[in-house]
Amino acid sequence: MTDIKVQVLGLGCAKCKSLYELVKGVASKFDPSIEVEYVTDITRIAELGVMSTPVFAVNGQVVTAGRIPKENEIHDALNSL
Amino acid sequence: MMLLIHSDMNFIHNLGPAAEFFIYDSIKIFILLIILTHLMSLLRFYLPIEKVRDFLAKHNFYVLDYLLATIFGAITPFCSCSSIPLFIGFLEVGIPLGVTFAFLITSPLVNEVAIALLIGIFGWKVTALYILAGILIGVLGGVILGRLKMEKYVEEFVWKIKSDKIKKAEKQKMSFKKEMLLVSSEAFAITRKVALYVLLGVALGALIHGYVPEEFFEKYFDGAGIFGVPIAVILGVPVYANASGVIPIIQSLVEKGIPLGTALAFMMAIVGLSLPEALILKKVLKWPLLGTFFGVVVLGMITIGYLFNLLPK
Repeated sequence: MTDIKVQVLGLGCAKCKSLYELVKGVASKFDPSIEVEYVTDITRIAELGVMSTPVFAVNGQVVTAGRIPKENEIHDALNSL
Repeated sequence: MMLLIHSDMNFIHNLGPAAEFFIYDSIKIFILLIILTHLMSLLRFYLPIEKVRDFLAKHNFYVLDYLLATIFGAITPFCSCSSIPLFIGFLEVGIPLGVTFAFLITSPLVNEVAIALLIGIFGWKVTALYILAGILIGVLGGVILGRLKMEKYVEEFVWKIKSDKIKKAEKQKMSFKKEMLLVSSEAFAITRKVALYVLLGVALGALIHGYVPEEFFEKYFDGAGIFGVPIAVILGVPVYANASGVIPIIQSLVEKGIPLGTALAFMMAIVGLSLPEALILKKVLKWPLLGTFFGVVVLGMITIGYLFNLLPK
């Protein structure tokens, strides 16, 4: 299961940080070996093609952008892999 | 002692109107907020920003582009932390710099929270004028910034970014009921987020309403004379607050003698331009463009302030 790549992307706003903490919490309960990457580099965010932050992405695919998803949405996204 | 009793009596005497003002305004504003956030969340669900961008990139209506960009800016929720991905995302698909700025100028000025508060506090007429003003500043600012040909003052790396076509995770087919639940939970999330600021703003407004003497501010603003509007705008720019807390206070200021145009220009400067936003935009704009952007918007707000002051009361 360790090949799951989970990312939270944001420019460091309060919403982005709280999403990062939330995703880290859900992911560690789901599988403690998952590492959540916090991306703040503008170029990388822009390259993903999203226009609103924070972004929650799994394996390079955008799950939600511009809002903080519910815990079960994060869980479902990890589960569907 | 007499004085003390007298001021106590005054306090109690004024508590009634202040409390009434607070309760009545809070209820009215929250009903409007819930209705408007639902309408806007619904609109956004069916018209996400990516679709808006692709529409603007594909069509070329010249000046009408600026108008469309500002209208889209008004319906898009704005968070200053999203302004950079938006900025890059627009330029990348070939939307002109001026049109991009038109969007960026209007987006923070006109949004559902500001509109709900304006309707609740100032009524329909002022709200309509305010929306018109927000769109006008965006269109004019965008046209001017576009004409100045300042593309070279955008950081080079921005032009080099080529994003992948957005890889969205497979969206499960949602039932209509589920879609509406999602829209509604978004709407309530926005309302909850601003609730505290609204209550604080209305409470402060109520205190001013109940305790500050009539025409109190007029004395000070008479001294400022014709410079009242520019002073208000310049004072407002460094202040960073969202519309939800500011509008109720602005209304009380108007009630106590500050001209409507001056007060609204002050409010626009607070919600539309801020130092944190400038710092964020500095990552993609060089100083000459950042400075021109702020300068053009400040001038637009001052002009709108004067125009509002000329309106018959």
